[in-house]
Amino acid sequence: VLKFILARIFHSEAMEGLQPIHGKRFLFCTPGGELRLIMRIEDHKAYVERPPGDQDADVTIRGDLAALAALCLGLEDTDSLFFSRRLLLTGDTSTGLLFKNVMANLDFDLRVELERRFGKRIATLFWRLAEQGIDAALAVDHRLAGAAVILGKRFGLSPAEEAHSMEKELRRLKEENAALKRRMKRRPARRPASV
Amino acid sequence: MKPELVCPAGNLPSLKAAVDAGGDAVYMGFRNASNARNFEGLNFNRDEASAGIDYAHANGVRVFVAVNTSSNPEDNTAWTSSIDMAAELGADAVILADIGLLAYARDHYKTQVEIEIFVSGGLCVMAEGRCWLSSYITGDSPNMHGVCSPAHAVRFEEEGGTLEVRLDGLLVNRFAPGEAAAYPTLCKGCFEAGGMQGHVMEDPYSLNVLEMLPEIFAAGVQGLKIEGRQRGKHYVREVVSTLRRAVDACADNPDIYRVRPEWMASLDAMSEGGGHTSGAYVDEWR
Repeated sequence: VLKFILARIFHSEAMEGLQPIHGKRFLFCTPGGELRLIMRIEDHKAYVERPPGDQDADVTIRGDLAALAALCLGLEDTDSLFFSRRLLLTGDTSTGLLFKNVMANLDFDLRVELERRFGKRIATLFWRLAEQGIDAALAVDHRLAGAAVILGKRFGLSPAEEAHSMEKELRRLKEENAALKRRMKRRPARRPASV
Repeated sequence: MKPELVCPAGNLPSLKAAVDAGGDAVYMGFRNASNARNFEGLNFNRDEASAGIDYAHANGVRVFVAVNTSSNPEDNTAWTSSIDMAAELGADAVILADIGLLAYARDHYKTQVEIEIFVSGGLCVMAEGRCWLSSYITGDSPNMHGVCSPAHAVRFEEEGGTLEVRLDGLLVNRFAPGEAAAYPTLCKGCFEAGGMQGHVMEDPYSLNVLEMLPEIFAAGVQGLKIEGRQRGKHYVREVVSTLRRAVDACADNPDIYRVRPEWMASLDAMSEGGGHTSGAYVDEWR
């Protein structure tokens, strides 16, 4: 998803002033380290990868998956996420702030863009899955983070990746998500400690 | 007379959100030190400003351009050209603070003065951001550079859940695990001074004057200005629509006006430090 959005940004002639973040490395991670993605921008292309080990980044953006998605998809106010301690930016603050403002300046609706590119049926499926995925990720953690990585790798910048493969992957993820929810339901509720 | 709601727009999506949420006017700045939110990636270039002004005007909303820092006496081109560009693009007014720029505007354009006050958002301890404090640490100030905590000087570090905020290496605040954080400004830092330890200059909360709206109406203020050009469209939409409801309710009948709990909750949810203050309207200066 991140790559899809970044592709939009870097093909938009309206965006200016992005030169300062060329060559910079952004690490996106969850507090427990379940999700670690490095993004770098070179030659007007965005590369997102899962680093094999600890790698240096110019900026580290740490938050739960919903907070990271909110930043990248423009779903919530990021300063409020910072105030409530759900999102933290460490490292080079100038570069991080520039990234935040570039994302905030995106004047498009992701859902509309998905519909335009993949058709309404798949876009709706994707959106529902993303909403469920964020809920589930908040509750259970890394499974959906892994799914996000798969999505990012598979449906990024390449225009050749089209509806069929996306639909197949979404179906698989939907099944995985349903299984995850079943497991969550089976998990016994925590009892308060006896007094 | 009902004062107009003047809403922040740091980018085009926020401007549209402010217009759609019921703002009477929006204010914006250009990408230079001529305005008090000179942050990386924020503000409008010429094309964006033009598109924003067209969108606002098509919806009956006025546009103000903030040229509200002090100009550089050696070269004030960035400031005068911002005023010229605002006029050329059809902005309805400029927001000025520098006496020399007021003279420039008077000499070149039709002028008329309106009084506005801040009603919501990030609170400055000084009047209208006239402050040198951060320049003692970072070399930059709101007065001349449009930033009170320039991002190049800010560093956040978290260890064991405790968040430490530094400005050019100087520790200015420390937040306990789970404690609501605030902007990294010096005036809202935590210090020891005069035998006190704490926020000795200002509490790190957002301004909120919902309780005082009838008095503000009675005072004859023409513009109610919402702070927050550094915030995104979600913040703008939420805050503008909440204040729209409050201002309309107060205008309908100030005698029976009451602040609704959901208005307060909506603003507090997006507040700096998770709380609000009446600021200098009620509090004593420290």
